[in-house]
Amino acid sequence: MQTSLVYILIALFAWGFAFLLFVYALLLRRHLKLNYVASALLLVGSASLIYWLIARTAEYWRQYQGFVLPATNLFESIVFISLLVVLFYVVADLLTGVREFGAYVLILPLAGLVYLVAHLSGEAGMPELPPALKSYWLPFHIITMFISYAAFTMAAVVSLYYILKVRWGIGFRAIDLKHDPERIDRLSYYLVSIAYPFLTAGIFLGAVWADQAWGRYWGWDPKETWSAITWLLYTLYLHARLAYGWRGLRAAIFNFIAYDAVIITFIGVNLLSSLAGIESIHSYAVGKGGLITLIVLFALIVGPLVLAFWPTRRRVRNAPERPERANSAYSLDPPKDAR
Amino acid sequence: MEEPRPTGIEKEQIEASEEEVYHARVREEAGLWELFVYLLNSLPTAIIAILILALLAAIGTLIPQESMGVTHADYVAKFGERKYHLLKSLGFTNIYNTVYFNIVFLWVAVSSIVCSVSRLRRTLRLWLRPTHGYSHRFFTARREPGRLYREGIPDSPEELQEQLKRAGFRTHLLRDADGSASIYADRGFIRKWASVVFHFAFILILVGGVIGRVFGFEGMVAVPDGGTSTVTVRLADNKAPLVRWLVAGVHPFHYELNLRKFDIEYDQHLQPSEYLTGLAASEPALREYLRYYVKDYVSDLTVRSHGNERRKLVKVNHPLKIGGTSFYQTSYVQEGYLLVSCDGSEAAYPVRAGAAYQVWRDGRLHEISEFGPSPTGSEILYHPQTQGGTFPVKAGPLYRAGVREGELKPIGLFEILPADSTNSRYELLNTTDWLQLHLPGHKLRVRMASRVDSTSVFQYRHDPGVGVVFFGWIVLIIGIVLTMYVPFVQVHLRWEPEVLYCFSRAFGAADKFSGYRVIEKCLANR
Repeated sequence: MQTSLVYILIALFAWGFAFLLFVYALLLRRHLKLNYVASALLLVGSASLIYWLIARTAEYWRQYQGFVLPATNLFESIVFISLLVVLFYVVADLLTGVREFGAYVLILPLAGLVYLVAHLSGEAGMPELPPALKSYWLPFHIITMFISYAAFTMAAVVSLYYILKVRWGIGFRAIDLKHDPERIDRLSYYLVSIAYPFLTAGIFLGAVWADQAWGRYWGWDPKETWSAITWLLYTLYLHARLAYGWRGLRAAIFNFIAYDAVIITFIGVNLLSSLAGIESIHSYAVGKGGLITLIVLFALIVGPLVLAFWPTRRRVRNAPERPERANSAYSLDPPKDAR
Repeated sequence: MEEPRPTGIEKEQIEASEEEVYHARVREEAGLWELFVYLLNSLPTAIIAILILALLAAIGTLIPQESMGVTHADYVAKFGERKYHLLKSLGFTNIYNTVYFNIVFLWVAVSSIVCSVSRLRRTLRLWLRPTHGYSHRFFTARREPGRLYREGIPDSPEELQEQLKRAGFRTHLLRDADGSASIYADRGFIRKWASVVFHFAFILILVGGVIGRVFGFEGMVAVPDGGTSTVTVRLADNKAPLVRWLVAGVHPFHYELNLRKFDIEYDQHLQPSEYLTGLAASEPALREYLRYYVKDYVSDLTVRSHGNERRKLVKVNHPLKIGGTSFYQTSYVQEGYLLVSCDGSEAAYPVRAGAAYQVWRDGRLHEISEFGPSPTGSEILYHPQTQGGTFPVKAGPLYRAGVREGELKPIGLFEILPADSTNSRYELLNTTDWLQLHLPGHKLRVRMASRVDSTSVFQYRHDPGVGVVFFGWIVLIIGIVLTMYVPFVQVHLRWEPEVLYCFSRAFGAADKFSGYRVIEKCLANR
């Protein structure tokens, strides 16, 4: 059995079509029911990737006589994280009704799959597994880290919409009718609060594994260092939010800057390290650092900063930075609930 | 019932003025030490310190670090002598051990301790003596104003307190001098404790790290197959002066490592090589060489230390532990021998990856990396070491899909470079087939010899702080989860015979009005 790119292509087309439907539904709000079709397509694409991953797992089982989570090189990692982002979106939609954000959420998974098919197809085969990767800590470490990445991605997407809406006035009525800026702001915080414990646990599991495999739990390897930087930035985000009461645009921008660290940890650190000539012991996760990769990475990191800081004449509105103090005596009206 | 106390208005004024006085005093008349403590306790300073720490850490990922084994020659080749000296003088080549990195790190650590202690004090105060005696202003001057109820007010505040207790709240009741009463109630206090505990857990992780650095040591030791090596470590070696003084009295650690047998186990790829990542090599010899991959390296290791002895099959992910010190399988060296037959006389020569060899007219194999090839010598045999990795000799137990199949006799990959042409070819040498080489006037052939020298390399580490670090980390995770997901609901009530003022906050609750709901349910049930 040979895992084939066909399943990746099926997912790419299904998600691509779902993306177009989401965009269409956003532009023409009368067709919101199309979102259901798009969601179904998402599941078709996800099923295709799940099949690919199961087939790859079976190959590993045959070769290595044991369970190996298929996330051992960049190709498999991108497949895995794309799938997790989409599944996380589906679950988040079931819980909090965020279907309208589908077009935004799909941008990164689609970009990931296009990158795989266009530039990494030569690495679609099963990689050779270094002995260090044959550990039962691998699936726990990777799954917790990737769940956190998926949740951070979703949070960043929501923050991106917030920045575009509040700072640039670019939004869609289909979303605005259902989610006011305050709700979007809270949503991004909830998503980060889901991701943050997973990130902490993921780093811990990685440390325990490193302690067993390499004889130290912390070694300032570039990947480890960047995961710590990511953790520190999100720690600051949470402190800014909880201790300083940061809300709205400031919080969204900070969230996005912290997400840059996630991108660098996941894919950029390998590229930057190889450009800087640093050998990483996480080298099995190294991808090919081509020009396209560099441009995409640059766009991913710099794009949000431009959106956040580029001067705009637009007046910030609807931004719940700090709610006004209520000076009036409170009323005897029935309680007003936000929900 | 507690003693009547001043009305809330007075209390609130007192509290506000105390805080203002404190900040004003620090700003205006604080001495250096007070300012220092003030800065340590300030969140903005901590945030700046964390940002600087993150920035310095990021620099360390862009410039190769000495701690990763980068040598002076590597630096000079990469940056040039002048740039290298500049980077070195700034400490960027070993940034995680520089004074300024450690100072910032220490600042963050001490700041965390100070912040955690003040958090503990605040939490204890809220736990033991929650602020009471609410004024009218307390209920109105909030970002979210409180609510006022006139219907169904119970006759006594105790009745309300009882109902709150039944709803799972912790309550404190305080009678005011004018007959009214204040009730403080909260639910989910574990969230507050969890927050305190995980902040201390972060400190515990740092403490564990410090214990490891002070009382721990690490290093590498190579043991030849069938041989013995010894390791003696004095704790005071390579430590900062203060640490050296602290551990001066500790006896040296002594270990004797005996490697009974060292096997590099090979497995075979089951898939055709064109499907395997990175193996799409056009050369058949290279493809054949790459078909065998290292499944595991296994050392039958015995370690003796201070009268104790431990024996274990040490593999990657399976270290040997003795007296708090662990020995990890990290890498290996496997060197083969090339058998050279020139005009009937045979001799074996060791070959190492990355070196080029040539047989000269004396019939002997010479390494030519330094002096260049001899124009009268044989074709050049390059034992490759490329950027993609090394290609050492392979030999050891052979498996197929995890099942032992036999023994892989030594095979070695060589790039053959004819003296008169730039076209090279790959040859995979084994122990049975001779390869004819061109040497004018001589009959020259080579093959691999059966002999292979293997050395197993272990990392050893003694780290008494690792347990503390991991314990701290587990507490940190549990604390974060509890703090994020256990809702904490606070209810402040001011009861007067005909009216009830209520202010409620909910942290981490899906329903931020849950406190009001409880009160409204209490009132409705009457």
